[in-house]
Amino acid sequence: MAVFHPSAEYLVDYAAGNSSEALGLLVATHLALCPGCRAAVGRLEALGGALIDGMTPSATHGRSLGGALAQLDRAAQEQAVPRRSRAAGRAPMLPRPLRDYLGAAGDELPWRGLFPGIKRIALPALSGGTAELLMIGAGRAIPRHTHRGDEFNLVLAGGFCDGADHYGRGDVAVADFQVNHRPVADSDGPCICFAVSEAPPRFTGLLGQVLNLFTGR
Amino acid sequence: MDREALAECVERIAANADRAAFAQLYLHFAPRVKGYLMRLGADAGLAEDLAQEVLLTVWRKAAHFDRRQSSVSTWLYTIARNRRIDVLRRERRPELDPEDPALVPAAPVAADVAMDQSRRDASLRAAIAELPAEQSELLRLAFYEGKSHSEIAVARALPLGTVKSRMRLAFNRLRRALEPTL
Ligand SMILES: [Zn+2]
Repeated sequence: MAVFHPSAEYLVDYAAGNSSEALGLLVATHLALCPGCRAAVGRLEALGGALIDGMTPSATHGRSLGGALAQLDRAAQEQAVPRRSRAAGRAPMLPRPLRDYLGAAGDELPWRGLFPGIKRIALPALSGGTAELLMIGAGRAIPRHTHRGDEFNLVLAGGFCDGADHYGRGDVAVADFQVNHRPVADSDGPCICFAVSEAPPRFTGLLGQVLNLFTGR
Repeated sequence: MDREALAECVERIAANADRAAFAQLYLHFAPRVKGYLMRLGADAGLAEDLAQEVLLTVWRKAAHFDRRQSSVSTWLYTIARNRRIDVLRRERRPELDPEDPALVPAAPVAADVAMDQSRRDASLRAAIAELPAEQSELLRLAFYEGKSHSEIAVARALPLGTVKSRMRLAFNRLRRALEPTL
């Protein structure tokens, strides 16, 4: 069970629909592995439900309901899926949200060597940061990427130590870009991480354009 | 309509493809979902189209609704939120799949400890009402104005660390309020 979780502001961003795609994917993958955070996000989503309840209704067209009813025959209803028995088989390494992005059917993945002892799979470009899968050889240090934003490492297999802390499957380690430390993969096998390095937020809107001028983005 | 009546409508759709139940839900929710989407930046025409899509999704997915897991409003909120990301932000929404074999299941909660849905909603609303203004303001900006925590820091000219720590305080208070009490 995960011990290190994304902090509250990332769960609020996710529940309110405001995560960047890169961090949204990281949070969703953690949620698959962490029932505690899944429940917490569910409670935050209930805030969204309260928002819908409290919304002043905005009149819809008179023909709106008729249009919807006319489409019902074409909108095939999905059947309830019976709960799978979880005893069967080993859990796949990649939870579903991440699997969708990698387009990989099983655990056969197109790893490419990056440095000796480190392999990598880059994900397609996402908003909010760069995302990649890293396989770090037993006992090797985990490389750092940019030094502009925070970095997040979600462990998918194996584990690593950072000082006194040990991170295993489902755990999220956050490296502040100012912090200088050197996480090292466990010695008993490779560690597979989903790593996101956050791009500093690009500001939007008129005030944002002015801010971007100052920050050179 | 109260929450039980709304949940019954969804269950009638799932059981009998009940068009009258769908019409009832539509008249209740489509104007509210439209209001939510307009609030978060959709123009009236787009918000109307998306609200219709959201309600059609309710028709298609009615069998997946479980009133023990969430209220109809919360379920609809998540559908509307995801459509907003797809369409207004033109991004993919990383989907959590409840049937994913990699999903780590929650430990079952004893029935005498679990809070029922309506009591949980009432506790949540009470807890939000009791939050200090500076904390509830952040939740309002996140949910009602669609701002991420870093966008809130910019919009309110607050240090990022201040926004983060206020959100953590608010989150912990809500969590404590909703923890099953013995
Ligand atoms: Zn967690």
